[in-house]
Amino acid sequence: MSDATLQSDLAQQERARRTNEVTVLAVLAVVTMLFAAFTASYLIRRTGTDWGHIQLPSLVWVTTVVLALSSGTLELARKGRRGGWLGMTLALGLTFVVLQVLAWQSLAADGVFAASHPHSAFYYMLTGVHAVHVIGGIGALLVATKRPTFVGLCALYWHFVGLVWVWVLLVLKFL
Amino acid sequence: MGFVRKYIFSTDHKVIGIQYIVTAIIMAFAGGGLAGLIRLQLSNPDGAIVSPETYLSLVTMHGTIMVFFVVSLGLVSGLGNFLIPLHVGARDMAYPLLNMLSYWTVVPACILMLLSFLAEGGAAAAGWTMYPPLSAVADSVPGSGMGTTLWLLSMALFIVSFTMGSLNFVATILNMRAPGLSMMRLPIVLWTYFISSILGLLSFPALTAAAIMLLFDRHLGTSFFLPAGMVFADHVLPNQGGTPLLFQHLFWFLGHPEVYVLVLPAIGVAFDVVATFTRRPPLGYRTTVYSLLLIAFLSMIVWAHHMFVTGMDPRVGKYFSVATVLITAPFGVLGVNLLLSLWKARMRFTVPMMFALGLISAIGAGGLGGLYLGTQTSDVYFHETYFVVGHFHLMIGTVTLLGTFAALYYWFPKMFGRHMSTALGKIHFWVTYPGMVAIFIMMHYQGLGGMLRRSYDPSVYDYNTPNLVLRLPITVIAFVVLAAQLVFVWNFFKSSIWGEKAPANPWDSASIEWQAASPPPHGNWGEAIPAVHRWPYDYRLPGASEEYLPQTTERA
Repeated sequence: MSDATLQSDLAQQERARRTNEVTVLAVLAVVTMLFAAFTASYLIRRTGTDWGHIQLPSLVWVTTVVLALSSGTLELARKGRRGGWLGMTLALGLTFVVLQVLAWQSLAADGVFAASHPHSAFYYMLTGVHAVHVIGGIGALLVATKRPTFVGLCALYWHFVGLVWVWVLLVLKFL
Repeated sequence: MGFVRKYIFSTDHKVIGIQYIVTAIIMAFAGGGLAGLIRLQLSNPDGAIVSPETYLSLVTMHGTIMVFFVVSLGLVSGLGNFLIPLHVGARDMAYPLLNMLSYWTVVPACILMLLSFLAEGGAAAAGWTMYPPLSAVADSVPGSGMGTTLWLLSMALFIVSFTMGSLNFVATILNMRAPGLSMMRLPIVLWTYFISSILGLLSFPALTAAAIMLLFDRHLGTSFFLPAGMVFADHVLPNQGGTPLLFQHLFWFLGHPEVYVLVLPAIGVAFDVVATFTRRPPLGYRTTVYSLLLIAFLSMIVWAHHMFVTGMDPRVGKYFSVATVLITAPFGVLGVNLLLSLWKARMRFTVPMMFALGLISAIGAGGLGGLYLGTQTSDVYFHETYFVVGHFHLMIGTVTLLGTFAALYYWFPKMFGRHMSTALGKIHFWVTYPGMVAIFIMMHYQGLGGMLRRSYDPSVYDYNTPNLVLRLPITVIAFVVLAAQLVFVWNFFKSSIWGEKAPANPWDSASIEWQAASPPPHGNWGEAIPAVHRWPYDYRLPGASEEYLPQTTERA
């Protein structure tokens, strides 16, 4: 391969990387607007006369730790130790989703359903929509196992979804 | 490449663009047919052509189909797909596969939307705005059962598709530009696609959130939007504490920017068509770009002017009034720039130019009506009347459709390597433009007379008698205009096969897309991506040897 084609190949790779980065940032903007709309709705709905908090299932604290750990393992994968850590991140992501489902089941077992209470409606909806975003991230990680250049982009999205989870939890707990 | 890969599951932006446009034409038959039925019902002197419930379905589906499945698909997704890679000098979109996926996501959305007519109880009937409680309670009106479920599913797919499309547009314009093509060398039409894609990305999530909560209310029994004490079909609903106004806020947080998502590309088309046919740059390129950015920003903070009659705090209403009227400033800049671009110009009166001129006049007429509606005090009177119907049909009906037609007549030679028939095009213009303006100006008058906009039979009120004079002329003209669209459809499909052969740059335009072959091959540019050396409006430069210099001409 001549120097010129090598150069243009590198330039193309660099362009593709920047394009992907712009796209992921735009996706994060979309997700931000979605959860901003939910937060605004929460702030309005909580002024209703029937408002009050349900007891959040204690499992959510476990899932928070699991998600934080997964961000850490993904960072390790991004820092060049791809093999095992990427698989570990995937496992932790799946664990998170399974534990979220168990948390729903524990609420339902106590007789708290979406329709029981405005706060429980938000709990089921926000955690559900968030879980969908985590599942999307798991899909992206699966792609990244085949394409190493995607790991950085996945990390951007994954950490962001982790932050969204913290935000959801803060809203549900304190607002 | 097999036929299926080339024309059906294609990843080529040009094929996908044309697929979108053809899909929009098919959906326009549904949307236009519904408009015809609505007019028949409204001008029928005695009794009913359809039942009141069906009438509500007709209005709902006409609005939904026209806004999301005709103008969004044709003007934004269709032409955007075709134009953006050519205009930035790229071989295709940033993500060709995603592009194909977004088209094939919108096809089932179209099918579900049309299927809802077959649902038990008929199609959705809560208005294209889908306000609860009508939309949230299945037995409120017949269409709120299966019809509304299908509507919501279809819109969910549409939003997914439109979001994927907008991501592609933004990534392509930001990162796929040919060497030398800075943002400030983009044609104005590309700026409008860029800005409207960003607007779409930032505003659709609010509707997504609203739709998710609506689905919870409908199917899981929650009370996001349903207050206490609602009685339907002789039983009291168990819901309590919700607020239907929350849905309206979320809906219009999307709904208002969506108007600009549709209108801005039409205005962009006008700028570029006018430049080519006046043989000089549009006046004030930079002020136009900055005004577009300002309009986009303001459009996201004025949504509640659609809700003045909901009994909001007058101080809140005052804010939304002032912010709305502020948009007149940048919009005025656009209008002045467009008008002065025509000042003392030697115009070439081609068919696309005629549509562009019609569009400019419609922006003026529609914009003036907007002042009355953006002002809280007058809106309270006008809001439930035909004044609003006339106004928004001038803006997101007439302006966007004239813009779509201008663009299709203008870029048709690039799409198919052939010309559309000029004679048929002129017939199309001289019926469509005066016809649409006449219809919607007459509706303004009916609104001034207080004619209610959602009324199924306007003759039941005595005070309305003077307004009824206009209903037959409106209906007659509407049917003539609808018939003229058949001329367009015939011209479009006939010319794509048998039209007169067009050279690569039939309009002598300076902008880069005309440097590709007509129609451009897969990959658009042959061996090498073109290098860009100037902006797209170098006409009649003093001292230049040619009458116009394409963007690829090197600087001396």
